[in-house]
Amino acid sequence: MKLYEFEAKQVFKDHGIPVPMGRVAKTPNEAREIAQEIGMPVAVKAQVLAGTRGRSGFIRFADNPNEAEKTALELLGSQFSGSKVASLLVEEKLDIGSELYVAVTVDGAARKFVMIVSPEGGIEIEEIAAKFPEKIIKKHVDPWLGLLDFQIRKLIKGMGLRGEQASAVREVLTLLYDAFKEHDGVLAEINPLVITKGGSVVAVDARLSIDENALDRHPEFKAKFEERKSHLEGAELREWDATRRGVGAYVELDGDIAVLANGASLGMETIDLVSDLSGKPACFCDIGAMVTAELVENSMDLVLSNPRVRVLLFNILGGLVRCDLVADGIVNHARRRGALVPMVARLSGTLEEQGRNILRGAGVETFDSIFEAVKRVVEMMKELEK
Amino acid sequence: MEQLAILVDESTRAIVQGITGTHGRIVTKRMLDAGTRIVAGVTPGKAGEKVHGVPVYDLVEEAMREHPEANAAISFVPARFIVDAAIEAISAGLSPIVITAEHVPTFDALKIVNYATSCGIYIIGPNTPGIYSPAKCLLGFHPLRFFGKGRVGLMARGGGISYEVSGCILSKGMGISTCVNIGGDRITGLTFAQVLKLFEEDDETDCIVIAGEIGGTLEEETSTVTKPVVALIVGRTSPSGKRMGHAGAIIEMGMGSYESKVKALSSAGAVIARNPSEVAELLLRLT
Repeated sequence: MKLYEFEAKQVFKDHGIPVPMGRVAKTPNEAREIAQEIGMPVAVKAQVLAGTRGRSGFIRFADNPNEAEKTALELLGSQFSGSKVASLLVEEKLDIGSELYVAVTVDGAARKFVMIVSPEGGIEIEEIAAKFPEKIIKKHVDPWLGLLDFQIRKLIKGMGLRGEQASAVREVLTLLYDAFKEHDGVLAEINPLVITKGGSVVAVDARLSIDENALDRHPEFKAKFEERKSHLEGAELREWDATRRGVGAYVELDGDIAVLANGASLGMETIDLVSDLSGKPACFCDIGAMVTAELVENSMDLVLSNPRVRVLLFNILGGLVRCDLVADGIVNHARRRGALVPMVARLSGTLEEQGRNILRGAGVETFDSIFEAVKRVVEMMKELEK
Repeated sequence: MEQLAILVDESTRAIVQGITGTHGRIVTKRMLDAGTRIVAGVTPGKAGEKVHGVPVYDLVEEAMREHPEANAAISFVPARFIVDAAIEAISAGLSPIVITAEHVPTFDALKIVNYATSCGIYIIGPNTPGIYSPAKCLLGFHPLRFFGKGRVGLMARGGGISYEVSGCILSKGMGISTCVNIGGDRITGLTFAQVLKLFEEDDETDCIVIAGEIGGTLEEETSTVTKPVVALIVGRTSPSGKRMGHAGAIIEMGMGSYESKVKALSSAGAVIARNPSEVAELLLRLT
């Protein structure tokens, strides 16, 4: 779960990391008021979750409250990376001396956390990596040991820092790791971490992403997560709805054959096989390992809420999943709706004979082989198109 | 010469953590039916009960006192208690430890994996159906009818794709030495590179199948081995930037794409199959 800049800054600030003076504005008038309070030139920053804002003009500067209001009027409601700008962060504009990059994230390959720093902040890390690969310094952090002092010394030295600046940045690294760990972060990034001409160290931008599997121990983020999802529409709403319905995962694609499988890798395989026969998958729906008849019904409602779906393809290859329960779910769904949706079912694994018998009784074409099931569903789609 | 499979075999004596839960009970039955020697179960507060004849204890330590021959574990403990349960099993020196829990927070998975590594213990999972050496030991919930005993070493992340591949191999008259499912999460205990090395050194394995998927870099980290390797990467038609069920299966900034995996695996000498049935056909040709 990605946080907005202003949310991430609040977390960092609560941990003691210096951030610029400022507040969130939702109207041009509020932007003017905040600029007035600050009483010096301000930065007006669109609060969006994706993309680089600076170069596309979504971070602007204003010398006085009038300009701040005018800028806010232009930015609010505009479109950025597919989402509408609903709020702005108005904060003091700093006299930048130098810009550093500091971040901590998860290194899946090393199976450690990794602290990444660079003296070349202010541009995206990918760009730093391309232009100054030698100027990226990394240290792996063991989750039990935490960030150790000698590691911090190495990182500080790598950025070429000395004296008071070194102490201030060292403090920020420690606090950033603490904030990351305490909130179950998967990414905490300050870019740029600015050293002002006056010598103070300030987090001018902030990113924080929280591990969605850990939201249960962070009720404040969990509530925010739910609230945020309530504003979604279309495919995004359906993808979110999947988690509410207890469906393992749901990803919408642009075809007409809804693929439902019990497992992620099996689902991906099914999508590949359908595409190979020029079928067009409408979605990837992983119904998970804890399958009940009710969950199957729910999953069917979910995939059918996408108006493009014409046929369903079930690929059930059960380790723990009981095929008879899957079949019950399909039959219950048809009974409730008064009609059977066109579909093909591959049912294999635990209690497969029972499952197939139930489905045959209801008039569903069933298969043991996924290759035959995929062939049949693509044919069925062609027949429907005629 | 004694024939050993990798990680589990006839000498495996398993403890089941969370044996009294719904899945613990069902899978214990399946493992016993497959011939696995399960010596004890552990569920706090349930000491003295029996599950399919297996005695239950409150602590791993108590189970070990009564059954000192125990040398492996599988846990059906849910994510919110998994750090404690895993460290308990690691502290008892059990290895491998299969962790079936889904939705384990990354921080918790890292704690478990790093502690296990420092103790020299193998973790399989989290979010895995486990490991299966046909006719020797099932430490997991693989559906047995898709597996025949043979000399193909099989590794995958999730269960479904491994059953599918194994079923295709079986239909061509071949079988599996061991099937290792390393798990669908971003952080896994055992990696493909480690399992590949174990298969390379295994006398019971002649050729190796990697049934990988898009996302992460585990496929790219594997190195060249002397035995023939067939690789299948599912998700080649999946869109990038979307998390396809498995936390690992997301292509971000070009990392973990189908193309990058195929390139890395091919240059390490693996032959690439496009679907499970092609895996079996290629194996026939290679052996």
